[in-house]
Amino acid sequence: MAQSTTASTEAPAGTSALTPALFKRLHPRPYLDRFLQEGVRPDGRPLGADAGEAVWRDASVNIGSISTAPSSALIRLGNTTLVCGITLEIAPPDITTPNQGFIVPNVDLPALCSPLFRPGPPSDEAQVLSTRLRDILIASNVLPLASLIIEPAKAAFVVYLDVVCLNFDGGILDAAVLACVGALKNLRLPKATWDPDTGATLCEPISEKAQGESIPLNPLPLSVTFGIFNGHLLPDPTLFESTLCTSHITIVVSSTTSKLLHVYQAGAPLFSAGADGVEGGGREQLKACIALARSRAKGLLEILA
Amino acid sequence: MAPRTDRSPTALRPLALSQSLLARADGSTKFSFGNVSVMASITGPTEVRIREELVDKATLEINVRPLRGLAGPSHKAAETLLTSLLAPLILLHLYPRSLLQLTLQTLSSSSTAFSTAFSTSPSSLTPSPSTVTLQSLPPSSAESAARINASMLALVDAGVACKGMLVAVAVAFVEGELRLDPTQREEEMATSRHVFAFSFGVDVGGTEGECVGVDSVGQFEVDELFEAQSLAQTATQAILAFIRKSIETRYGATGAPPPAAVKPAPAMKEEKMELPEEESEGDESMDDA
Repeated sequence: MAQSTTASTEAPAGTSALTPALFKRLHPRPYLDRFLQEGVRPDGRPLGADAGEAVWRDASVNIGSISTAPSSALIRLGNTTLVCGITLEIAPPDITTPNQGFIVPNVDLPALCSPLFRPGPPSDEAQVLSTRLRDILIASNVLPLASLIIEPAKAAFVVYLDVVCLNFDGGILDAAVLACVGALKNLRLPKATWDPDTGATLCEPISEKAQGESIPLNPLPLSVTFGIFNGHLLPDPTLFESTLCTSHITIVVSSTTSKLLHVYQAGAPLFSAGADGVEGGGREQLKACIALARSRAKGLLEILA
Repeated sequence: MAPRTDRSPTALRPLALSQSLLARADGSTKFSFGNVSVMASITGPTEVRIREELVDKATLEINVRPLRGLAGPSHKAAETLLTSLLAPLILLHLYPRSLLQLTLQTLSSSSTAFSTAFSTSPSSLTPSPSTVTLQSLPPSSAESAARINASMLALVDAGVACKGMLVAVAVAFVEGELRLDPTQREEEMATSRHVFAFSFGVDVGGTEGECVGVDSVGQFEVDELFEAQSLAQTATQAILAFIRKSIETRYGATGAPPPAAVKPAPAMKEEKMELPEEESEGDESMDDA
């Protein structure tokens, strides 16, 4: 309150001191709450389970935008923008897993994507995102590690998935999973052979003549995040919303099967107050979230195709 | 994978809990599920660095340490999970402008033995898609659950004010069978692993418990998730009963503080006198859920 009176003394006489921008800055919680009471979110999206596709932010994918990488995908999810580039390397497989290659995802949150981050070593948030992205990609088995083998116990491909965030506005994990899946779909492995005489791998670079072979992918993982604020379920929250949310739920669904690949929720209990449009216990509401996630996944899959 | 022979699929491994093990920390706890063991220590409320000071509540700092080497990205992820689980339960506003430092040390190592036979034959290159296991992910669910329990009990030992108790347990699906508190081998052979955290206390779940944390990975149906959640809920109730019994034995069943003991002055002797007591607490175990 003290802050708002300070603001009013600085404002020119006769005009309303508390502009919307100032209100948002000084009292973010009441600001968001006023919007939600009117059944709308600050960026104009409707609230409630029956709003259909309009509860999500616009997503778009541009595959192959980086010509120097074997495969890449640029994703926009609302204002969130990130790019995933794939680099390939050949390395001997781990001695305990002679029939498996490697997938190494890495999320970079540079200082240019948000004032929240500083230049220097990867922030905690980037490390956490990298770990969760790895868990999702490995556990969903989207790219079978066995398909990266050139010669068992001798040579295998290492697939580096470098995700660089260009604009940080919430939903980073969702966008990162989408970017990785988009880039993997477009990936073609060059033809490589292991020469037992020289003990070296011969790899033919991808060209007009040698197209390489694309890898058959398993059902794709598609991630959808929800925020919970004051008993309201906010699908695909922006950065402003997600900093105010007491809890987040991330659901990763499989593109073609009915299976779930990852469910993550931590913090305040799942909907202690009745959420919009969904009544009943936390379990019913989680089911509603999963149904919402599935419908969103269908939309995301169309964008990728 | 062979079925369990040492316990039923819905039974916990023996639990062990010992508190106040560290003399210089404000609270400390060792919690184990069988051979998966985690030590937690709390320092605080203590002075906070100006940069991290919050005027209306305490700063919660969590450090997860591996058995050897430096903490990596996966430990940062564990810290984030703990922060988001504990921050709503601790009454942080009671300790403004101060620091609560929680350090977790893993005491058990994941085995470095080759747990599965491996071959380079071409037939093993194409596993059938129905048997996709989580072998490529390090087994961490049971340890994650132990970390959550150890942190909560360290907070209790330090006397930090909390809204309720947080109790966690791991569950895995191995060949379609639901297994509570999976061993390392079972986690590797699992098709999905789940860690569930439940909070107990007035307004935060009562005696039934309320699910405040889910971390599931693998491939599973919705019904399997809920089946695992129900099993985890009854298991956490059993773990809470064990914790209650253990703490009651420590402080006396009525909850009164133990009678003041006259301790000899030299510090060396003091430590020796405390040891037998703690060991007796650590021995307490419970076999069944």
